[in-house]
Amino acid sequence: MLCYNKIVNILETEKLTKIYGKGSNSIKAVDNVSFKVKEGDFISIVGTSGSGKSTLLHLLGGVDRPTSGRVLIDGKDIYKLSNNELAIFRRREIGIVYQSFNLIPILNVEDNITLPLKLDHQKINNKKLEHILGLLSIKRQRKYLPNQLSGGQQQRVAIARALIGDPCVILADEPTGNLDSKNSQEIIGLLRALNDDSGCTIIIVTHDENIARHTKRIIRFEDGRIVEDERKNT
Amino acid sequence: MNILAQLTIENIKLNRRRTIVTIVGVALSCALIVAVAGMVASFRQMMIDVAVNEYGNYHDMYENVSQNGLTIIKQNPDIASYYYGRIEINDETKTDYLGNGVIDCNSIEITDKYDDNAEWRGVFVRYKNIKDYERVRSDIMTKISEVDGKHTKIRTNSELMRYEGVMGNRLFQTILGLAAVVISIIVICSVFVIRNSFSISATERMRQFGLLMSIGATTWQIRTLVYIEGAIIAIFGIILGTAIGVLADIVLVWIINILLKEMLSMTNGMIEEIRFVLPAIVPLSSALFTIIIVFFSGISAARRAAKLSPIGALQGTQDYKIDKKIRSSKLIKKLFGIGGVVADKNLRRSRQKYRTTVISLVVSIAVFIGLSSLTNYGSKVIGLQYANINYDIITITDNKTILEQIKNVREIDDICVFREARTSTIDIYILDDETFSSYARSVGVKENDYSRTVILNDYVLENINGKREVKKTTNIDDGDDVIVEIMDYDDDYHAIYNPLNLHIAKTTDKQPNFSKDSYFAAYYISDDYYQIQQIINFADERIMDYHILISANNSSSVAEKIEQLYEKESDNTKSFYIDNVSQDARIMRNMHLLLSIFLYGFVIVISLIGLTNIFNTISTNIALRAKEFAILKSVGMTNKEFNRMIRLESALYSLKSLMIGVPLGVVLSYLVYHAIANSFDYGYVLPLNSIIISIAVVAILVFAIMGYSVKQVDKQNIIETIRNDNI
Repeated sequence: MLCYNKIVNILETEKLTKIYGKGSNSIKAVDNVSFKVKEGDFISIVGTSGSGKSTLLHLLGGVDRPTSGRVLIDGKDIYKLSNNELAIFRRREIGIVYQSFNLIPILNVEDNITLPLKLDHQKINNKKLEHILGLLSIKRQRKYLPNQLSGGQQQRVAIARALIGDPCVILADEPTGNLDSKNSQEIIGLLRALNDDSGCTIIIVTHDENIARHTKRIIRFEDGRIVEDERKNT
Repeated sequence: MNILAQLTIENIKLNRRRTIVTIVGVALSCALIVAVAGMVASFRQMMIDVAVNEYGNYHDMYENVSQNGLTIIKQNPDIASYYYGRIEINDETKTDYLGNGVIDCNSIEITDKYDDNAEWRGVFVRYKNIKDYERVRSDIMTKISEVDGKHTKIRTNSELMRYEGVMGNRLFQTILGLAAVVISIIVICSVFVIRNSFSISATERMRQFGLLMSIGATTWQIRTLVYIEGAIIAIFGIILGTAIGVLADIVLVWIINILLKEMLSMTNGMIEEIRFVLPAIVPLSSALFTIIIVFFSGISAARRAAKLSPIGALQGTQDYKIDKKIRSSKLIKKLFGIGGVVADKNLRRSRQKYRTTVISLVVSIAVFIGLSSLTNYGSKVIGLQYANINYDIITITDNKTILEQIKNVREIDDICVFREARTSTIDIYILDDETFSSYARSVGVKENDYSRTVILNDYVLENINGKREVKKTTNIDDGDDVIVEIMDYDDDYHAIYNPLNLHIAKTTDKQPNFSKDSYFAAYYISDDYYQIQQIINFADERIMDYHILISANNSSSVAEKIEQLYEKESDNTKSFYIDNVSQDARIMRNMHLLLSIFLYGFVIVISLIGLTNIFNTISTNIALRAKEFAILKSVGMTNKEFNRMIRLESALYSLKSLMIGVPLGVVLSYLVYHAIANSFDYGYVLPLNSIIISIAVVAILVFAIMGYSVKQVDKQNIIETIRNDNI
């Protein structure tokens, strides 16, 4: 983990708010949300459609700017950074997995996974790449293009891409949303294993209670606000 | 390979067709610039050739230097070449050559030795670097004066220097200025038009940009993606464009030489033909301008891409402005159904895309209409100039012997001769016997003896308030007697008038054959007229030159024969003038054809560049909305309604661009008319032909492109299109 400061809270939000639209058309997607995440935590944010959970995740990931409030990752107020600094921070410290995989169709599996490193002009550590490919069981498909993979395999590639840069935190937005139940179980199992074995901090957004069950802490989200924050004893 | 380059190249491969079309557009712009610059270079070369032919292929001529001086010149490393010349000085050459003018190389004897014994000798040198001539010249002169002990005289071939670019050259500077204007127009039009292709590309890749940003690409890296695409397009565009442009130059020079052959042959070998040349600056400057075009086309797309928010780009929500409600008019709903409403809203929301297509169309339409007017008026001017002329050659002389000789020249089909005596009112035309008798018969005066016949044509063409009317200007009738005052000059060159009685046999509005399309008033009599001696005595001799109008199929050969006659009789001829009018007309027609070729060629190429953009815009627009179309179909929009929607969009594009482009074009054509209105007497005419052509072409084009693009999209499966989530 590239988190130098051994601060207990790897991620923190303070009065985070996101409003869309103006005047009578405005919607408060995230409303004054504050919470803390410890390093090594495995959290699910659960809510129905339109609850604002995805918006919250995007704000945590620095891919969308809040209307007000702060997000601190590893002690850094990420929205005080300039756009370029934020981009660089993102590629080194945050890994994002999307519901719709969002792989680049013209690059093969290996190139998709190493994309963040190449953008950062970093040398590719082949040992680490092999390790991650093995971890996610996609070694055989390393030269395939995304359209030659199943949904489950594509999501695993997305997770690998999120992992390759050793980020502080992994954010996953409905990672099993596009998968059948077998693949969904596999993916959530994978994430759980990652968290158990390497202490990776993972935050998942989901509407599926079955998925949320596998995590260690469940935050329930409704109408832009946290309505429940439960730590499970597993 | 660098990941950004790899991503861009893969993307280009994916959108092969659009990239190729953009490259073609860029190549056309580059080709146009190469063609213009190449023409300027060839023209300059022609002027250089003229100067060389007329004055010699040298920059400076050092006069009467000693052998030592000669050695200095020969050994100077900045001298490219030299030759020697000598002149024998006699009375004639004394004034010509001991004066200070440029030496005409045709009068010098070029020798292979520097003749020390000649009365006058010179060394003609060409400098390697003409821009440096002053330094080299003063260097040589200093050295020679050290060696020879005296100052060397130099004559400069200023004409050649001027065209090779050293001394001020107003004609060439004007041409350069004109070329600069044309190239600026090309650059601006191209940027307008090609800009959209980059914008489309950036829009298509927006999701990809969003993803890259979300995993940490900086804005600079995103911009670089656009710039790399630009660089690739520029490189291929420049290579292709330069090739096309050079080919176009070669063809144009060839055409010019054919069309202007007659005119060039009249220069007595001064210009034999125009040569095609390609100095390095032509492709280099074209490449530079093309890079400028591509850069400015891509820069706004790059900036827009950099301003995206990652998640907005990823989800594609940044394409549409949803800050106000857009209401479609009820009329559209009635006429075009729900399909039409979707089309209308679509166009209103994505104004940017719509606007650029419309602008390209507007520019092409306006330029087409404006420039067509220019060529139309050009042809009218030429038509007007030569419409009234029914003969091929006109020659004027005072020598009656030559007149008789000319009449005997073979190959002459028809000949009319007249003399003119000026009066205080209507002039008297004295026609030769054959001409007069055929004219008299044509107006109904049949006599055996025309010596007392006077025919009056007093009808004149009047132009009142733009209306043209032929009107009788006197109240003289058949059988009237009139007194005419014939103009003469006294010893002090004051005009004096001598009265003459004329009995009018007939008044008519008919003109003699040789002036049948003209409308001027005249008294007509024959050479036989019984009082002709009196007229000749009264009229100034100068006025009584013979005007000889000749029709001949092979006018050049006849003209040549006549010129030879004049040369033989030159001692007895005070004045002569000859004009091969039909040749002039041919030359003018050819020049007009050339002008048309250039202008229409220019318009067509600019329109083609516009076309590539329009094709790209419309087809990509449609491709980007594949998902939207699939959704519409999946909720039950019938094919009929769908087609109606597409047709409405096509109509809206065409209509809007025609509504702006046509009036703009008409304004342009009026400006053209205004600029050249003083050259001729013609009212402004609305360029209906060009307008109709524009309307037809635009409509066909837009509908065809949309239809084609939709067919491409149609081939896709509905649900796959909706589900197509990968970027």
